[in-house]
Amino acid sequence: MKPAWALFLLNLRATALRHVFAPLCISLVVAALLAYAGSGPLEAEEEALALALLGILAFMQAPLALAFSPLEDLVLSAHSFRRSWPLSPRSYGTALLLSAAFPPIATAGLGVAFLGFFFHEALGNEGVLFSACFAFRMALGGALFALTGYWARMVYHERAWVRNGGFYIPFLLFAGIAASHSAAGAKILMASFKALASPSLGAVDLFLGVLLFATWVLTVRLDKVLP
Amino acid sequence: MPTLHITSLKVQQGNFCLQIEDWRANGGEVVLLAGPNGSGKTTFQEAAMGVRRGAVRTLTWNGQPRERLVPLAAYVPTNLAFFPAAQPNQLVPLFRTMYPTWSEEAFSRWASEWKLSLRRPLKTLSMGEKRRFFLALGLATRASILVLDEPLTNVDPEMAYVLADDFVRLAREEGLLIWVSTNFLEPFWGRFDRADFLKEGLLVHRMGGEEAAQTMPRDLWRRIYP
Repeated sequence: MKPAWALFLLNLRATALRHVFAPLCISLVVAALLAYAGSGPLEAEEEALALALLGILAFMQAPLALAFSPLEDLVLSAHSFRRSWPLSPRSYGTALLLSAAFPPIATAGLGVAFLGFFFHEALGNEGVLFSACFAFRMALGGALFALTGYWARMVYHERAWVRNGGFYIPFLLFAGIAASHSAAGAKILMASFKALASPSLGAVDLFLGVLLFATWVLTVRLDKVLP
Repeated sequence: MPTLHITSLKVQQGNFCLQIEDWRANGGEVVLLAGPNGSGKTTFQEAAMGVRRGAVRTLTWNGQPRERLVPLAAYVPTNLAFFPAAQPNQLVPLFRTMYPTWSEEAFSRWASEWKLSLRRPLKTLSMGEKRRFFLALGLATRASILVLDEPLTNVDPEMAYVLADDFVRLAREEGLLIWVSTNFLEPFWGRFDRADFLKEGLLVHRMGGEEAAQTMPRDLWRRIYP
């Protein structure tokens, strides 16, 4: 087994509670809140799509919010490994990327499976496809977010707002729900959702992919210049 | 026996400057590094290992120049920031991937001899237990050089003597070079090959085993650091 995979699996096992159970519980609470939010000023189909996408967002936000804490263990430990044991910067950066990407990707999959099942009736296969595209892009974005969060932690580790930054994301979600219930907010949200959920939007994927790769390269380099 | 030879080592950090002109140690020896807090013990070992940024030095092992000492050497640092929620037996697979010479049998042996708890999360272990676990990891790498930073800190007195006995035996019987940074000299007294004393980044005294036999650690300390 390669050191990067071993480090990733170790991080996953050591932080399984935070990686899996806590995000799942928070997601379920947010999904219940979404159901309670009821209908907004949209057409029935749009309403269903908006709820499906917001549901995925609900599934996504918890691991994003919690991505910081599993990464904290990995960052601290990997720095120790890097300094004292023969762990290459590439292995270290790859383990970091895998650990950052895993929570959003895993829960995006869960979100698609869970919500796709419920919204298949209302939206058909197209709705499931939209959800999948949206979840995929959110997963990429989530990994990017977690990695840049790692940078922020390393550079501004003494700042409490950076340490707890992930926990502000639920508030953004609730702001999104509130916005979806105003006519203008709903239109803006729908436009963004449709753009992100469009299967033909290759430029966004390319952009996120390139950004993620660049972040990985910089993470490997950054470790050399940080204390 | 192969020789580790370090020359022209320099680390400049603000007002502090560590400078070692010529330092050597052989396989099969136990070499101690002592000195007051902040004298540069950890910096010296990290610079030798090649993990200290900004360090300049020339290093050879067995006559061959080397940039980094890992994985030829295993370094057990004093700051053990590892996955606090992980159990020791979960960390072992990672170390196995890093060292081609890793020995499962050696790890099991040390884990058993030092009574390690392998199934409790690291955060629930005492500092001494964690120290013993990381020393066992270091020994299981079967590296030719063991660089140990304060290995006896937080370990109870009885275990400190057991560990020192084991380090000396490894050097004598298996030909390892054991390089220990410590101010707790008593467990090694009369059995080490050389002790180097640092003060403000400079080597101020080198003492062979014979000289050590004629004095007591406390007297020696007072003589070197009046």
